[in-house]
Amino acid sequence: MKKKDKVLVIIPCFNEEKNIELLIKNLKTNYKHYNTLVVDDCSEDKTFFVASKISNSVSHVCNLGIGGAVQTGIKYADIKNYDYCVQIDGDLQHDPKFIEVLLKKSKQSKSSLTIGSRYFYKRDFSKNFLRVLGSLFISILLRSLFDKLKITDPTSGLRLMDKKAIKFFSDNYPQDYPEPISIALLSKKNELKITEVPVKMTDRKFGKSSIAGVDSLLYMFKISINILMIKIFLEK
Amino acid sequence: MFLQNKQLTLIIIFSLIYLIYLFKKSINKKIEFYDTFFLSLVVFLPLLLMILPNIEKITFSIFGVVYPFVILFSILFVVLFILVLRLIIKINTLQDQTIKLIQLTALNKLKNENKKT
Repeated sequence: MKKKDKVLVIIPCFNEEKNIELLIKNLKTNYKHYNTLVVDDCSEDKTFFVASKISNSVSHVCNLGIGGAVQTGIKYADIKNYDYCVQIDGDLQHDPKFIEVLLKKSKQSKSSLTIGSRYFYKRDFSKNFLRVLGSLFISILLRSLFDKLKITDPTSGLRLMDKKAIKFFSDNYPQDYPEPISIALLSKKNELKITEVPVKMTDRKFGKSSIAGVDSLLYMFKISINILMIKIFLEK
Repeated sequence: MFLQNKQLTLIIIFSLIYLIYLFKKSINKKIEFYDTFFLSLVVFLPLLLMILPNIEKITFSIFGVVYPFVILFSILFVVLFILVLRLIIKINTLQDQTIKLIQLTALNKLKNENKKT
């Protein structure tokens, strides 16, 4: 009999008390075979209190940012010997039904990092022009610096990692701008396979996004410098 | 000598107070030994130029610069650069260690809670 894969759903969150309950209940009802871990990054509201009642949850004593929160989940997956771990945002933008799609693609293509892409088929510039433009710029940069790396949505927070990626990111996950930087890091350092699948994401139901407006441009600039430095200076 | 005796006395007094303060901090482990060394150069270098004025001639023959303050501030700039670089590396190392500690503390707390239940 084929052994069933152990899958951990990592939910990093900060001040998501209104969203987190809905997300975990959805996962517990419709996707019982996945284990969940909520990583509360020192929220000021009752996120941890709400989450710890219905899921395995950890709380940081001070705010580390999205990179630190996701890495805590990856470390947990590594310690507990999970086969796969999925990062899914706690703000209800990611539909858990896509976890199965990511998992299937990862197994088929034997890729270590599988990304859920909003822009797989086309980019809709009408929604958030600067953000979509920034994402396009980073895609082009990654493609031109790392051979054969065609990533359409490098800033997507819906990602699945296999055991090799879990091992690698457990010690090497970037703290700042983790999504695009981790792609560059994985390509340069480990040469593990990265693929994408098309997904749909919805707008946030409650709360505000951390990156918007002019911040998007600054975000893009900092990421570009980081990726360039990884390409030029990081040893294999 | 490029400074008068009165000024020399004043600078020596300042140097002594500065060094005593620095060594006191170092002995009480508030400042690391290497940082104490670099910080003490801030007074040793001007003192050296004052006590041994012939250094001017030597530096002129090497760098072609006769004005001692140019040499003095150039060296001090290098010293401060090394000091700041060391501090940045130390801060980054401490930051990495703190992040690891926070993550492991959170995971251990969950482990203990799961054991209890």
